[in-house]
Amino acid sequence: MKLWLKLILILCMAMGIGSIASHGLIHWLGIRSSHSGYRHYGSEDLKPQTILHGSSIAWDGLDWGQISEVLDKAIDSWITPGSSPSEWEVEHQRSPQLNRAIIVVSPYDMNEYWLCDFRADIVPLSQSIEDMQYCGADKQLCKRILSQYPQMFIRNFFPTIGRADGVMVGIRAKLQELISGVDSKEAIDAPKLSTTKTSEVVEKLSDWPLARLQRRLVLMRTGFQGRHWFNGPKKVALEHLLERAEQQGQVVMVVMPVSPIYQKEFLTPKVMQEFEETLADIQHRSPQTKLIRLDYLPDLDDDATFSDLVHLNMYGQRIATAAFLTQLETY
Amino acid sequence: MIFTSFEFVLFFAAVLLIRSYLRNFNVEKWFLLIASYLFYMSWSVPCAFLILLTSFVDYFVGVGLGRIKNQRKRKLLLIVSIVANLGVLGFFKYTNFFLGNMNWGLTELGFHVQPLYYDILLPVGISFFTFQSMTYTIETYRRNIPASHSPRDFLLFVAFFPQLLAGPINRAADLLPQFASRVRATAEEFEAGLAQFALGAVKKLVISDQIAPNVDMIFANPGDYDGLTLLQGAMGYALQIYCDFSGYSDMAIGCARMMGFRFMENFQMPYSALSITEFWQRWHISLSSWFRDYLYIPLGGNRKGMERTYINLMLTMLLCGLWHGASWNFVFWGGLHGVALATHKAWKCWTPFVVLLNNRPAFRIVWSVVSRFLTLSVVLVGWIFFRAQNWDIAWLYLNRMTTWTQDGTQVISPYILPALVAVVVAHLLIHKDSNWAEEISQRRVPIRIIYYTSLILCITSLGASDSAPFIYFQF
Repeated sequence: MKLWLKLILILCMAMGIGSIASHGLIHWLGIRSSHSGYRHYGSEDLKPQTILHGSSIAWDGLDWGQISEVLDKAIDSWITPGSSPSEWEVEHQRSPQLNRAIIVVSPYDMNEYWLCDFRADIVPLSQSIEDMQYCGADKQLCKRILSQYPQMFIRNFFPTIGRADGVMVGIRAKLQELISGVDSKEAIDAPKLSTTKTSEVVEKLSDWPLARLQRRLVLMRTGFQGRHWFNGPKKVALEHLLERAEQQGQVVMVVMPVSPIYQKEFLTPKVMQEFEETLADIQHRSPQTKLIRLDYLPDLDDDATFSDLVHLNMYGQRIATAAFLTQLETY
Repeated sequence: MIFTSFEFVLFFAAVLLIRSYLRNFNVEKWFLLIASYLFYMSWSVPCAFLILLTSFVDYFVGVGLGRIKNQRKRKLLLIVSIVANLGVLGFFKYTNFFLGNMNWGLTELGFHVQPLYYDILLPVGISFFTFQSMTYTIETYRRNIPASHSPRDFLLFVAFFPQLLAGPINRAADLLPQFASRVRATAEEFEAGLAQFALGAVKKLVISDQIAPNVDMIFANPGDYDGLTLLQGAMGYALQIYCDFSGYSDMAIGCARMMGFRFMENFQMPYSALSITEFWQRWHISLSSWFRDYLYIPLGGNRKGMERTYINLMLTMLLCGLWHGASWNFVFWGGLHGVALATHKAWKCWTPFVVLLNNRPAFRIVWSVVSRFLTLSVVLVGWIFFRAQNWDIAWLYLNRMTTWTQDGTQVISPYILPALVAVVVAHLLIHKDSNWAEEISQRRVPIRIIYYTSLILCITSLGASDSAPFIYFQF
């Protein structure tokens, strides 16, 4: 009995020290571990009437400050990196009084196999199960979604769990900083979790060395297991979101482009056809929603307008913002 | 349900908990048997019936072998068991390989035939449980073990969940007696099991799963990369397959140990080997010893002259290659190792020359470095054929790597290199014959705390969140 007790004490101590180290690592490397953030675009005096739902593709792709200024309306947004309609549907319930919704989607964040790191923190388990049952999601996807819930619990003790890419990238960046004394952009090869101001991003995907591009493609392919599917829980959530938003007021849905390299690598004609069919179905169910297709803009069909595989840079943002405002006017 | 999944942790915890409350030994064995079949059914329900079928065939063959005295009839029974096991294995694993080759042969001869292909589902772990089951009938035939008269114990021996999917291929003589009397893990045994399980999880989640996407990328299009990247890819795969399979074995052995059962060790730092012969004494030990005991030695082993020894070695290794998969790549891989083993046997005839120089320390160091380099080179080249999707890709890979081509992208993987460094350091620090997990409970408390903290931190901070199935499941 004494030996068993000793073993339990040793394991508890190891868990305790491990937990402290895990928290320390998150703090030291600056990895984002909380999902909620809030952003207000436009003058502080303006009462927000518009809510923006989107991932970092939306924040990077359009200049919301400028849009707010032109429309003379404040825009509110909940910030969750890597988020998708599943999370937006829940976040939308936090702002019932707003009468206009702008929803920004892309083939990247509408892909059912790309899961938001904070999904379990935002979407209740019951809702996830309901959505998965409704759309008949496959066993593997269900498993991935459901496994996020126990992971969320374990993250209270070990916040680094499931964030190995962030840890590896962070350690590499810190090491490079220590060795060369400069912050190396080349080291940051994991999908973004930061929320930097995009109007300053001048980096061009077209300038990336081939090796860096290959590494990022591998990370991305691993992230969504090399698969695209648009007819699952995210679509169900988007339909619910649009339905609710239409009841509250005007809804604009913007389709953002992804880089030509991403298109070539992942978006086969079959995948694109499925994406278009999903959009057509959504539009059919929510006829009041105004659809703005920025992914059709020929000027954005250029790697020089992207800062990475899916995010627009400053040049792309300018083109996209101008086109968005022009198309919005026509409605 | 794989060992690194959350479901398995829950499943195993439930098994440990329920088992600790069972007072009746027979009920406990029934419980373990049901749990083992439930575990397998999480992969495939119909295939569980296949295990049941082959187990019953071998059980009744064993009963027959125990009763019958006539040697001819006993031999016939053994043949029934071997045909049943290899027949099942051959049907599920090699039908399409055989048909494909037959079709190719007929086409080459000028016949025009409709290519045949059957969509056959390969039951996971089939190569392992059929081989394990065969150890029972062969040993019973040889009268090395008594026949089992408990169908439940025999079914549990074949289907015991920690070893069911990918080994270790335990011998009936080792495992069956462990079901005869009640076993319970002591605190030391439980800790040894836990330490080995955790070490296996680190190998799988932190090393194998993390470097897999980078290795896949390089092997998918070897024509796109330069020599350095290709070398990195080959070394990465060597690391991946070692950490994947030895990680799985560690977890399987650890699970069994936590329940009080002992499995045979499957890996013993194979990349520290000084010769290809030593490599096979340290790599997939349960399979290599299976082939040694049930194929190489019955063929004559090294008792019938040098020429026959070489032939026996080649034959054993070719079949070992074929065991891994229905593809000529695997056969070639086996053949390459066969040639290397035969060459090493021939080289050992020169031993007096080496022994003479071995007294000099400088020579010993140089010799050890050269031996390791040669052994690892053969192993590395073998892995290229093992991993490549087909013959052409393997040759293209090898050609570009060995000619150190500069034409192509150079990718320095941020995952492969740190993993390589970690494994090399581990090989330098740990003695190749030591069993760290086994010794952990004897160490001082601070060392044990540091060990467990490091493992926990590695898994929680560097472990892949979506663990891929183990490579050896496909075999």
